[in-house]
Amino acid sequence: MVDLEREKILSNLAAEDFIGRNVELDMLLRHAKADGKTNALLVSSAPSLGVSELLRQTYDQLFFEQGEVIPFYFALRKSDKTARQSATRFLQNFLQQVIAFRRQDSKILDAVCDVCELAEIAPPGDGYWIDRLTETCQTESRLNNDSAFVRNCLSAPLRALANGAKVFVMLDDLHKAENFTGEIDFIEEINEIFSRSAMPFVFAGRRRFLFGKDVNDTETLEIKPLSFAEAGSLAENLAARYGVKINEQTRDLLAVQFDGNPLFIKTLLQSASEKRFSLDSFQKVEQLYTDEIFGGKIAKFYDAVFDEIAPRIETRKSILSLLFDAQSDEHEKTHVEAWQTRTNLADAEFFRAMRLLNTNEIIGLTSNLVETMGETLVLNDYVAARFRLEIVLQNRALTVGETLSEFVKRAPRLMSEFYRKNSAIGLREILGVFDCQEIPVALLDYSRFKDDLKGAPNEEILKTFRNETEKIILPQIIYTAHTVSFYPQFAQVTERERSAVALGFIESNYTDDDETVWIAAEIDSKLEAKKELAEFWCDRLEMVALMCNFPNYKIWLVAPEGFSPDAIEILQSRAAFGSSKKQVELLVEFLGAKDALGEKINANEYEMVVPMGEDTELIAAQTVEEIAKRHHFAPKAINQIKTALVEACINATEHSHSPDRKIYQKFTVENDKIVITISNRGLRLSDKKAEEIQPNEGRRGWGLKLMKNLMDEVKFEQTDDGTRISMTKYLKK
Amino acid sequence: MNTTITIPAQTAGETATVFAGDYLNKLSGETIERECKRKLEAGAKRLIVNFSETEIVNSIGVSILLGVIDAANNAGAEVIFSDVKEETVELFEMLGLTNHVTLN
Repeated sequence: MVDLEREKILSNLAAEDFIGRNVELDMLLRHAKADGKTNALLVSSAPSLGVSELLRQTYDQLFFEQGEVIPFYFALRKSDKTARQSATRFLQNFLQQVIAFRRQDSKILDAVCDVCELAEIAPPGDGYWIDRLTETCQTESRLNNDSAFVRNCLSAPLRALANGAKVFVMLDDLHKAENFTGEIDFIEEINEIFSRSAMPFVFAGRRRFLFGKDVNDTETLEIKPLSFAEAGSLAENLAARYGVKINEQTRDLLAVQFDGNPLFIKTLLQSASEKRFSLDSFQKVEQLYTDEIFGGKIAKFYDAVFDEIAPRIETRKSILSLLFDAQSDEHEKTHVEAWQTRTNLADAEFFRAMRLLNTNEIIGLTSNLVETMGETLVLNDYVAARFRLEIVLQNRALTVGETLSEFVKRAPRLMSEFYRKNSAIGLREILGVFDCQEIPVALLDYSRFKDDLKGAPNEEILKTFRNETEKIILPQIIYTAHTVSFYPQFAQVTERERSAVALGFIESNYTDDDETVWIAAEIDSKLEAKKELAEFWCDRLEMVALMCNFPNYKIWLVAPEGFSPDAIEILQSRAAFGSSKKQVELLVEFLGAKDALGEKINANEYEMVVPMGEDTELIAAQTVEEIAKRHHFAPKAINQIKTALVEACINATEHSHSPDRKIYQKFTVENDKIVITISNRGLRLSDKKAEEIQPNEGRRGWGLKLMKNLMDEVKFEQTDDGTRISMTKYLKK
Repeated sequence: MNTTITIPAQTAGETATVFAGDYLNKLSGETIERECKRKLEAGAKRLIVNFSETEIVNSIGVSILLGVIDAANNAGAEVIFSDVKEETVELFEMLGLTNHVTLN
């Protein structure tokens, strides 16, 4: 379990602000203690999703624990020009981190020391091997034997292990090795050294760089963007920490607009804090975001990326023009040759630039095609801003003004798209799990379902399904995409997420005759869908089949309340399936595919305010008991939740000197957990004098200890005028 | 809201039994403490606190129970917590109460 109150050593965020990566952090901690299946773990992600922070948090936790394993974190830098430079820094960092850990003194990490100075302050137990190591490296260095020097430096953790010091090596930003010059292949060297060792290690970097790297027997961990809920929590936490006023609407906008990117969320909130700027309306968010795009920290982030990709101004301009053109081009892919012609670069420079564009996910590079990353909103905004200012040379005030206006108009649109997407049933994902399963016809055919099962309890329906004799076999689906990806004009008919195409085979016989395509759409109708509506949608989906040249296809329509008898006749005449939303829910359950549908927003949030005193904490405890029961928490867990809640309420009542004498409580239930937030106005914990929080003869002041022991996570926050405690209990299955 | 509560208690020979209510907090804890002290003063050598009705316990209530244990020790009496629910046992263990008292 991660301790939320440990100090920051290498990490940039306080442990309690490091949100949404518990599973990953836990996996790394287990790996550090050699609990992994293999000793190698490859951690990859798209740019700026927080891999470095994850590794730094892992470092801090292991340092805090002071267990058997010594953490070592090393990140390649852009300033490392050769493998030798990087290896020199590696050795220095390694010794510094080992000594800091052994001496339990993280301040050693801040000192500027060379290897010899570090050897002098090594604890006696490590002195021998550290001396030998530094001597060997100095000898190799004097002999100018680069290869042996690099190898010796990078093998330092193995020497430590041979002398009884167990080290967990985390090598970060490996994609930066792409820029190294010289004979030595850094990645090959570290792979050679560590993959043969028994020590647990992590190689981390950009996913497109690491993909296909030949690391033996590796476990992999891909870091994804934060979910909507996690991104919202991060925004809330950081806003509280930086003293930036936000509200629920702008919190959600930040989560959606930045697509769960923690770096951008943090950057915007930091800028708001520095400028003492509130983010409590969409207009204010977009105003600050516009500043960020036109020269703020977000712009500087991308400036650095583009400067590295294309050091010459003219090349940068060409690339920005190509990217801008691609934004408005309906053809998503272009030939590499077209890019080379426009950039006018020689082969070596061109392919280096293309590789870096690809690694940084500014483009997608497959065989000889270039695909632009149409859904990366922030990147597209940055490219458009630079294009208009630097290439078209448009007036700055006009450009900024027009862009801000566009962003303000776009914000509610983004949210609408998100709401629609979130409410879609996920046809593409459901089709993706079709794999020759045999299912009752009534799961797809509304006429069968309506007659026999509509209105029956789920258990009875599922029992009937198990005994059902009339069944169909689903196809084996091998590829799915939204219909607009096959036929872009379909965007005029419905939203992207509400229609999908799935390519596959009937009964996994891989012959031309067995090829099949399912084309599915979710349609709106408050009552059973009528004949005209069914006909309209069948026509549209048949058009897709025609335009995409699908000879064997099956249409599947889903309407919330199913289909009227005359609509069913239409569906039957087209050999189409029509289902109700209820059937789809049952189908998902029947196929065991709930996980495939991913996270949906769960509106299970309850709020209450109780006055302090008079045992009102019992009212809160009874409320949370009802909520937890409803969400299938075990009786023991419910009692623990109630007790922790009571302690939080007592804490608020006893210590706050609250002016309004109220306790504000929020209970949020998500898929696998309940989060209880207790807030009060008045004295903050940090405002209290030492004697006020001294336990009385060891018999008081147990509240915090109990909360921590009873709940899975507990977090204390100081607000401007009071204290907030968040406690999480996971639903154990 | 009542600010006083009554704690049922019974005595058989040198054994006194005090029944805790459904919520062990400051108020009910202090009432139990007062009742136990009375029983000890009356010569009880075996003090049973019955938790069969207790659903929820808070840390202030637990701290007061420690006072009861001290008082019993000083009087040379044994303290037994009976019919304690599993969840409450867990809480007592967390706070080290089970080192000082017999549970049954």
